[in-house]
Amino acid sequence: MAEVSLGPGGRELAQTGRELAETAESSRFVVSLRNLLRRPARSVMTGAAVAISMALLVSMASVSNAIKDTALLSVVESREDLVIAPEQGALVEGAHAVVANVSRWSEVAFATAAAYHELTTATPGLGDKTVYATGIVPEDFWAMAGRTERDRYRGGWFKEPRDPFYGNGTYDGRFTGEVMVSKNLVDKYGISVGSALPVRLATGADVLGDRLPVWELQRGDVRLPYVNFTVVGSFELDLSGSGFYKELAIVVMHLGEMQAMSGLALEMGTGGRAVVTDLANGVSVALTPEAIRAGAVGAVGARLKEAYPEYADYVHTRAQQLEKQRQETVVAEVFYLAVGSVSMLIGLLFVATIMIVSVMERTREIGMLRALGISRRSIFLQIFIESMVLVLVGALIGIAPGYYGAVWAAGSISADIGLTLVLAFSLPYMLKAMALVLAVGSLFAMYPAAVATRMNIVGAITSVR
Amino acid sequence: MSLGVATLLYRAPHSQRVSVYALKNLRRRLTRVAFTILGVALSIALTVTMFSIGEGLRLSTDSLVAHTRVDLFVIANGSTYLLGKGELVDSTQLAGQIRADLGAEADTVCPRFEPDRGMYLRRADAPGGPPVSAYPNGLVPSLVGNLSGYRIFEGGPFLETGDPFSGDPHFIEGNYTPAAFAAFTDEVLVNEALARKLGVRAGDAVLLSAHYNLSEPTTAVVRGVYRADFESLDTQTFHMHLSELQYMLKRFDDPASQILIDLAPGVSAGTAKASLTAGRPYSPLISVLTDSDLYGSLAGIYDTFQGFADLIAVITIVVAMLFISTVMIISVKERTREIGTLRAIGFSRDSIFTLVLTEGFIISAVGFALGMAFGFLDAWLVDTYIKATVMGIPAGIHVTHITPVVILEVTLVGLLIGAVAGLIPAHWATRVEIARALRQE
Repeated sequence: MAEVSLGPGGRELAQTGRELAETAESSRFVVSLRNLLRRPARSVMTGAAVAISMALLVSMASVSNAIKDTALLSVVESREDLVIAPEQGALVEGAHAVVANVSRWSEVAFATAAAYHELTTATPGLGDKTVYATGIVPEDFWAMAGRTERDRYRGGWFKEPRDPFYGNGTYDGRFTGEVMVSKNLVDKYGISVGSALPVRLATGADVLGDRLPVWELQRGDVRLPYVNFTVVGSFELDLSGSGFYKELAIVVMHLGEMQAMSGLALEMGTGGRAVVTDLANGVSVALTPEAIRAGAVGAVGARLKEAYPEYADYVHTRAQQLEKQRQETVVAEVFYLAVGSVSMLIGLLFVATIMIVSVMERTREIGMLRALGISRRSIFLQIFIESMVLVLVGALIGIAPGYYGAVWAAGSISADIGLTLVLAFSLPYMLKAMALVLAVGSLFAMYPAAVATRMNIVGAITSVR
Repeated sequence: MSLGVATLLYRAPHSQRVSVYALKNLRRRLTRVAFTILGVALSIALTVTMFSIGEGLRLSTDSLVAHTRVDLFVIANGSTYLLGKGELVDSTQLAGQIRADLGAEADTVCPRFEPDRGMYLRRADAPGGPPVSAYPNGLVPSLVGNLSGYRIFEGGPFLETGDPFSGDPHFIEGNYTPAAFAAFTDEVLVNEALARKLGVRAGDAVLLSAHYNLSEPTTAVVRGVYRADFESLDTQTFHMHLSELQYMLKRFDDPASQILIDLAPGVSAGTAKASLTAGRPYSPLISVLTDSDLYGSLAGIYDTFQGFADLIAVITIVVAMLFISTVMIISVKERTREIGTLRAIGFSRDSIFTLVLTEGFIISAVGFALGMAFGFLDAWLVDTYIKATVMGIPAGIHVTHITPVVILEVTLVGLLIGAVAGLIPAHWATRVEIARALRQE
């Protein structure tokens, strides 16, 4: 229906064709750029869309990775090779004895126990405040903790490294009264290092009677028992922040003193005699370097289960702990990654569509190139490279906003859940993300390229838009 | 070809000819149209999912709080309901005082003791097996009244509705002796997770102790199996009479974690709260939370998430709008000559505008419909997947919830996309100059 004519546009085409035919394959890139620049508006729009999608993908992928890494970090860094971590409200009974016994094993470097319970503090001027109390043996806790965890305890530390109040097992030793408080207590309740912090004896913890320096505070017409602690330092919470957890405050005490304060130390037995219960929430075991090198973790774990069958279900190796942590974060991870991927998919669909449009528009041009002797393979590569240039440029532009987006997102999540997210934003990580986008992008780029190669030469040359 | 179509269309009624022509135009560029529709659909689907998660969490919290029918939560002064729970002592006496002070304003005043430590149970007919730990929950059945939030689906409620052991001299004097267990009602209700773990059914007997070695045990009958909205499906819990739990844990100071109050219809929670928190002898010992106080603290959990979800939705929508408007503008540009022809044979600027607008509208409408379908599917998948994977989600929670609000919001988004997709290229098309367009090669 229409005649074939080489107008001014046609001459340009012939030029392109000759160039393509003559030049080395590497210059296809230059030709692609020129083709893209011939239609600047659409190229910019497409590039922008890919950049936005890339930014979202990068942010989401970094946040998802950060959630995973952060959750695993404390386990990875710590010296906890084995733990007894009871669930469903179960507790370790006789925790000090368990620690003492396990510490004597030749493969074990040391072991330590920790307990948690709610206690109420009387904060100056602001009345009572219920806090989470953690009981630890400072020296062993420090040795067990990883670098990141230790970093939180920069604002002072216990003077007494051991747990003297536990004494010979009857909670009759020296009472230190040392307490570490979380930063939000310092900020909000005007507590500072050196100040006294009255802590109420938990209800039902009055079994020890005169062994604790108890005094009373008037509350309404009731007098309640308190013990004075001295604040020796403050620490950053790994669960704090501004959102849901802002009301959560934590204090750390010597294990024996904390147990005595919260009723975990003793209970009233038959006939009104106090019986030691020595309850704790978990025991951590660090093996000697030799034992670790010899791969004794499994054997020591089995020995723990045998020695303490009541906790057999709750003995976990580091790998099992990591797996548990992993399960807890896998949903958030999958979720953020899925969101990023869907967004990237839309961006790549955009590229494919625009390239198909471009191929259709250039039906005649492509036909002529073929007529001039350019191979199908060359045409395929030409269109393919054009698509990939769009993807690559868009993706490169999207990295920086993606990075800042991730920093911002991690900041808000940290502020909300209080868990400081560690963004792993390294070069290899970026290269991995780019490689993924280019790999998926190349699948999308194949389609317009394939459409271009399938053209019938005569039909293409004689086509009229 | 286009001339023929145009002539044909010129004779048809206006509205019909525009839509027929628009459809024909879209069919001429099927691949790009299909891709564009897919892009719009994906972004709509993502938006539906994002919005439905926010709504799901909000509504579930609402309904959980409402379902318990608790109007006021009385807790120890200085503690919070979720993080940092304290204990009230002499709770029976305190509940009685509150009951007397509120008078007819309160329907139900119920102390409840939920210690943080577990107790140990074992099937009585399976000696030697390892005991199972579970969280106890002490209450007085007759005081529970209208409060709910859990459902017994096997067996029945407690046979003894009061708390008879609280009147026993052993309990009153606080002198612990195992023999005093003989005066217990010895009945418990266990939740689904615990019943499964123990392998018991309603009517079976269990050994119950505060200690792993099952020292100082009592033998109790499982009256029923329940499922509670507020508990996660994998937390093992059981209910028993308040004083019996206190006695087994050797807590002779009558502790309770909360006193739950259901107010009479029409009584304002705020007023009742005010009357308890000031001027009473017990006022300095308690904190009182209303539904909305509790709801406020729960809402903090998903506020940040909601902000994220909205941002993600907005970004995706922007990409979709870029997508559809670029494709539409290109399509219009390609047809410059055709549009010039249509104008030359008498089509008005308005007709051209309507034509292009219709094309944009059709693409966004199909994308919207498809996206809604994907979105519903996706929301369901997310709900199922998260509930199956994450431990500790309360049974009554729906992670996603597609409400009229979600549908309305997404429809607005769809209209916005449609407008951008149609208006910009339509406006562009009306600016085509007839003479220049016809001269074009």
